Amino acid sequence: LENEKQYIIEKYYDMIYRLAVSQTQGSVHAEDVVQDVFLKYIQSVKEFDNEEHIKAWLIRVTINCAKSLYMSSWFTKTTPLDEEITFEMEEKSDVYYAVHELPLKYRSVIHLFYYEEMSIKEIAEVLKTKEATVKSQLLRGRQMLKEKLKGGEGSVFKDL
Amino acid sequence: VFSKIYKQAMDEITPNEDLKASLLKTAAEYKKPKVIPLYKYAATAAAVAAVVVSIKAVPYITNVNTTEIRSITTQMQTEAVATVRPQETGIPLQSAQMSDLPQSEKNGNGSLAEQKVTPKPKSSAKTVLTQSTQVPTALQAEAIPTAATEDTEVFVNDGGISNDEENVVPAAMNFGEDSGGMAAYSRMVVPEDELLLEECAPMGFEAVVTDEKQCSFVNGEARIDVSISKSEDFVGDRVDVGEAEVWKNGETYTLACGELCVQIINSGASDEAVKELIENIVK
Repeated sequence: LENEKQYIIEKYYDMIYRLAVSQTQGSVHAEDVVQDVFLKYIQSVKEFDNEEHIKAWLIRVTINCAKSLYMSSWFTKTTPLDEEITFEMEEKSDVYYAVHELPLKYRSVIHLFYYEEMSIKEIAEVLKTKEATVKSQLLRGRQMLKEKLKGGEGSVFKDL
Repeated sequence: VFSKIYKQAMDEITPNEDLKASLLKTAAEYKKPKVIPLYKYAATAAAVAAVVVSIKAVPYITNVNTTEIRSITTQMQTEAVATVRPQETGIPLQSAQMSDLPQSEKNGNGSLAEQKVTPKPKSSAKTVLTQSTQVPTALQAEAIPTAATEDTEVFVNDGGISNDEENVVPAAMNFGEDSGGMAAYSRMVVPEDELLLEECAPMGFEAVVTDEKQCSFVNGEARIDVSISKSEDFVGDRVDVGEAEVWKNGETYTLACGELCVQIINSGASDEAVKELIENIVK
């Protein structure tokens, strides 16, 4: 790639896209957020310390952009078309939609913890919050997911 | 189990590759805007405010005691301007005497009477002047060799400026015995309600914007101030002209303008003569 920004986009595009999907209601809104995030990055004059710094910045901006989308008057006055994402397995679909039904703040923590495999400390740094807050949000998120996903005796989520 | 299934579910989501390609292209083509220090803006703003059009002044008369050059912009119709067209009188321009002029072209005090003229193409005017008088056009920054002898000389000046349809009418004006000098003017018709500063500048005047509402055409002592009705349009471009005021020793003559731009070359004419000239123009 010709420049650093292209390299970063190429490397982190999928990660940001999936984070945006987890934060929004469907791919259309996610694409808006992703575009907004990377345009901010392209136009940014911020001096980053290293690649990890850029990654953390992208994650934080993505979550902030998703929040901005939810708070925008356009979003509150419109109803998005139903967009159903189909998965190969029913369990995947159940998990995906269970996470999507969580409040936004829990979704962020759950996604970063389980998908990005970030530690509580890293999540706290990225979200600019306390580790204790991340812990409590993670705990409450899990409990809410357990309620949504618990099934019968044979449920794969009984140990969640 | 949850972690594994959640990861698999999210991995199945296919990111939009078109958007990715578009962002990569944007990143490749993006150029950071240049940061210009504030002082550069200040200098630029000051320069624009001070001078909108700065074209070198072209003196029309240099071998006589030229004291004033005036420019007037007025809405006067072409037909209303007192002019003498040299090609119509047949009088050699450089040596033209008042006595040589047809009586019909003089008024009671020796000034030229008002005469309707028909605008002719600019190219034609230039041809006549070049062949008969060797008088350079206004666009030529050369001295005009006139044998000025106080009040008898008739100097014809081709302003050298016109727009596409109308023309510059070579004009002459003598103020008679009281004038103590001579004056001549040329005029140009500019688009209605618009006066292009650049078009005035070759007439020997430097257009200077004195503030947001006014610009001045100055050449030596002479000056014409033109109010600008749309100040935001003035910077280096066309301006709408509301009215023009001509100063002469503290006196102010307000002229309606916007259609006709008249240049006055006054060589030693008295105040009264200048006033008369202006009054003739604005009739």
